[in-house]
Amino acid sequence: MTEEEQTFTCINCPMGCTIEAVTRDEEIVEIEGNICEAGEQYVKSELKNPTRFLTGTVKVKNGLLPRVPIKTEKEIPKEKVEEATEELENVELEAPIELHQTVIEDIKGTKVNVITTRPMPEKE
Amino acid sequence: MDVKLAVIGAGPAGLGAALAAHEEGIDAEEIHLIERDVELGGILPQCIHNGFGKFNFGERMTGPEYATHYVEEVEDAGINYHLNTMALDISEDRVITAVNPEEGLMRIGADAIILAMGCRERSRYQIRIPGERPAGVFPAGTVQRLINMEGVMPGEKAVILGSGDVGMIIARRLELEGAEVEGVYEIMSSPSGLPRNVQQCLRDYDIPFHLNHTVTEVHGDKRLEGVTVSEIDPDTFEPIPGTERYVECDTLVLSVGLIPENELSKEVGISLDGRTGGPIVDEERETSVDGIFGCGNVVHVYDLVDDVTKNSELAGKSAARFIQGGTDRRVENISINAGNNVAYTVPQGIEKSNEEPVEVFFRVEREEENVKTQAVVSGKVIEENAKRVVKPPIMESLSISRKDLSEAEEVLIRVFEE
Amino acid sequence: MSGSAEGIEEEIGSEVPNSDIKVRVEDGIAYLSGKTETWEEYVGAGHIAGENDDIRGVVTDVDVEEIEDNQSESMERQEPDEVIKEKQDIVIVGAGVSGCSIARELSKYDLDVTLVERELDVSLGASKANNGCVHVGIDQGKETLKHKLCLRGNAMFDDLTEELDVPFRRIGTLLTITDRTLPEKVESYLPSFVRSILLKHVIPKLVTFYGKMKNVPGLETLSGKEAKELEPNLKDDIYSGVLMSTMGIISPYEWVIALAENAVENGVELMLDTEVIEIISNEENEVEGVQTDRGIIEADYVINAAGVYADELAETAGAKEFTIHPRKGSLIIFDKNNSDYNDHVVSELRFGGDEYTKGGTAMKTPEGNPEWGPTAVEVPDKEDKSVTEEEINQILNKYGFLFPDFETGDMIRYFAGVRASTFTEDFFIEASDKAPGLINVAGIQSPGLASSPAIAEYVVRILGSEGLELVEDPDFDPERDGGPRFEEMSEERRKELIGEDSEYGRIVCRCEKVTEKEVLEAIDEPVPALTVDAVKRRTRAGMGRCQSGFCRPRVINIISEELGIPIEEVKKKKGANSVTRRTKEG
Repeated sequence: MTEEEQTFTCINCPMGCTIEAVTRDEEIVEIEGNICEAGEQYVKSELKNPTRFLTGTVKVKNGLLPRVPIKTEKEIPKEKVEEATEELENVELEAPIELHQTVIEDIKGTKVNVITTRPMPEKE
Repeated sequence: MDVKLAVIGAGPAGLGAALAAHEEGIDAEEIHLIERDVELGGILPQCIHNGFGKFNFGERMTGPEYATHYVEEVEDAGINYHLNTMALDISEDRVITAVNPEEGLMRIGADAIILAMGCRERSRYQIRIPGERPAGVFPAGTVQRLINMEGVMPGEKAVILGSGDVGMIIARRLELEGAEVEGVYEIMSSPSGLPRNVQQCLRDYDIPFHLNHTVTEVHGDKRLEGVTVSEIDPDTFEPIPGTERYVECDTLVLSVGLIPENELSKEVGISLDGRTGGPIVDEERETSVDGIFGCGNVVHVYDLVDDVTKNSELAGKSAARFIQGGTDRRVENISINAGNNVAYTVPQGIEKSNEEPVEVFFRVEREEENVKTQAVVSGKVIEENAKRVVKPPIMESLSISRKDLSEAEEVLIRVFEE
Repeated sequence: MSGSAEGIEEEIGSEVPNSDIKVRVEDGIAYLSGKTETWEEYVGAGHIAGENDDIRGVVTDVDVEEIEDNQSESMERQEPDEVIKEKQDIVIVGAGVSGCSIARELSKYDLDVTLVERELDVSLGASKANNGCVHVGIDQGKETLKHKLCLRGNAMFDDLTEELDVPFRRIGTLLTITDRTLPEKVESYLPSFVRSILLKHVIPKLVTFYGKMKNVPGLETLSGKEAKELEPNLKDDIYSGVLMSTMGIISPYEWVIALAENAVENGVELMLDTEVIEIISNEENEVEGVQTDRGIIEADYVINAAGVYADELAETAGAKEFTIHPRKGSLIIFDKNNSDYNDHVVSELRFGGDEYTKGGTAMKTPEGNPEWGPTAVEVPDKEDKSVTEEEINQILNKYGFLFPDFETGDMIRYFAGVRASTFTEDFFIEASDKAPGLINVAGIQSPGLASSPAIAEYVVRILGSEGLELVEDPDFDPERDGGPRFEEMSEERRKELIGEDSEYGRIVCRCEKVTEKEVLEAIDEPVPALTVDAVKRRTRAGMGRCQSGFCRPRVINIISEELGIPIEEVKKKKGANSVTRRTKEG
């Protein structure tokens, strides 16, 4: 049983609590520094399966602007972020584009969709 | 043309204010948003990362989503807006001179004006970095626009000066786009931006972060070739001799401070607060010129768009009541002052006599732990909050009730350590 | 001191320690060889030779120990054989203030003239990096060429700027006499009443007298009180002053662009992005043209107006009669908020100290930005345009002394240029005996701008006496239209313009109120703006408080569209693209 002391910065909200946790085999034994439950949840997930939102842009054809921003609908495993970003390179959407239009389904096997985060009208 | 309400700037502040004024009873046709960009939304469309609307919407939206929400509400309400329109001038009797390609030069006389022009970035010259003036030096916001909206990269190997949120977010963006970020250099002893950005933008990407450092020279005649970075003495901010290091890079991104966009405010003669760079406002967000209100980053720079929206709704409501003739004009004269470890407060004063509580926003000057933030009137603490930690990047607030203010001339906001 | 080689050698030997310099004098040119330890000593030695009345030029071939010689690191340049321009009468090398003034003057005649410039725009050397003061002619020695040409040139500016549609104002300069005027050494043994009389009465009158002897018009002695009335923001204890009313202010690169445009409109061929590598001559060393990196230009006469590189160019013709020692000057520009702070150019009289580094002013540009400087720093590198922290502090201290309430925090930009100084510190404008057909127009430092119209006339006279036939061109049109400046217009005029062309209704640069149309016009002019910086110089987009933070992406887009090139190929200046590539995603 290896006990480890680790420090985390929670990314859930602007407070960014510095959380100190004592872990034993990836289970939390002691935790302090978080001002809410979400902090504890965050540490749990960082230990077992760290996840992040992915945001970026994809190319647009005939739109008011040449790029449209996108995000993953939910957090995806942190280690998949880089390959997910690479997959975005091949996308080109044609305007008009809707808000929350699906861009890629189940990106890199994460079961999470990539959607647009704004509408994009056609170029005048 | 003559309108009831003109709002200059259609970012989250302007949009929120226009909607709030409408909700308070001003007809949509009588509200005009004046926006210099090609679309509504202000700075939000280029802020493609999430972290917006946490408090207002209980979810972690991206900037464009937050903007889209309010833009759709404005369009559904039928509020007017003028795009590609630059406000050139405001007169004291509230006539705006503005220009755009379709309508040409316009004069818009308004019963009330809300200033919501946001802020601009400090340049390299304002912080006096010596050296040459090659291509490849950019403010962080310009880089953000270039990458996220134009789809072009500023360079391949970047040094970032300043750990403001924009700088850190751009560091991550550059790495995701295949550029190398050699490091983030911050002159203060602690990060300027939010801790979560230090984690998810710098640590997650193994980007070296150097506190107590600055760039002391820029090298390169045509294109940036490198910068000299030095450690600084935290008491004097002077570079420590012998700590200079040459860093090869082709891009220098500057995230060294935001300043309220106060050109128009100066032109109309509004009193400005030297500490914020923005107009002095009262609890209704009215400036020193009757009928001209201010909200959002043009008053002082916010970290959270949620707070911008909150303040803009207050300004919108107040402007509507001014138009309707319902507010008491300036009868009180209670100044709100910054006490121990408080850099500034917004509002800077209370001037109206209605009954609503006043929420005072403020920033601390330095980080402290286990303190109380307090509002003090005539030596008595009328409101306080226990805080485990306060730090400059995170804005604080205290809500003061009116009954505590009778006979008061001053409210002191301070940080109190036991 | 006589201009004998031995005399000069001896003086250098005694005044410059650690040096080992040999001097040879031939035909009024002093040739120095040997070595010094430091660059400062090298410049000192050159000055000793150059200050001599009998010496008209100083050429050096001196090893300076502290400098690693990497100036000879020349890049691989093409030298194509192809003749790209045949049988020109004249080729002018360098499109700075001298080259463009000469081009414009020559365009009055029926001649084939080509103006060649290695950069992507005109005016990119010292011609853009000075403060735009059109000097009165009091600072230069009476016998110097620069003095004569400055007086003559200054007087020509009113008419010329009207013809060429360049804003110009004779705001005058106030020379102040202060506590710092007398050198400390002198101060220490002067009784205070003598000091007071000197500072309040004698010195200003002497300056005025001295100026009048030099034929400088418009001089007036002022009491301290009068000086303070003229400039209320000056510090309180100004003893006296001299007002010189012929001082003018102009935008230096706007002046050069206007000259170049009028020259081009009148038939001069401008070749940008073309570097002259050497002068081509026949067996008698008569000039036949120039070899550029694009090919050969044949010409009967070559005007060497190549700025800091004029000595190297002359050398290729075997006609080097001067060596340039670069002297950097930095300037600081402040916010327009303070445009009413001072009405005149203001300077301070200081006796003692280094003759070549004492100058400088607190002036303001025609657009209303206060501008302080320049510094004067001898630098070994001709391309050293870095602004150091010491220079910034030096400038702030120097003029902050005169204006203690000035908001120095309102600094919006600083920059530097490099003066092409000769060791005689005078202009070197001569037809070369060694290379017939070569006219050297070198060493043009301050008052180069004020002298420029007179330099042009002088060079044309030289050409005439060298056999060039000067037949006036009846089609010459002296007028040039600078185009509308939205920011300066009245409301009615703005309305009119937008009505004519809606592109005047879209503002691209918020700080300086520059419209999209002005940017488009700049790209389309006879001397076109091909880079972001060139657009900036013509329209002022990017010169405001935010230093192009807002307008940069917009200007890049407009250039990309107008020139039909992808965004990633838009240049900020030659050798530097604004952005590097598209983002990976597409």
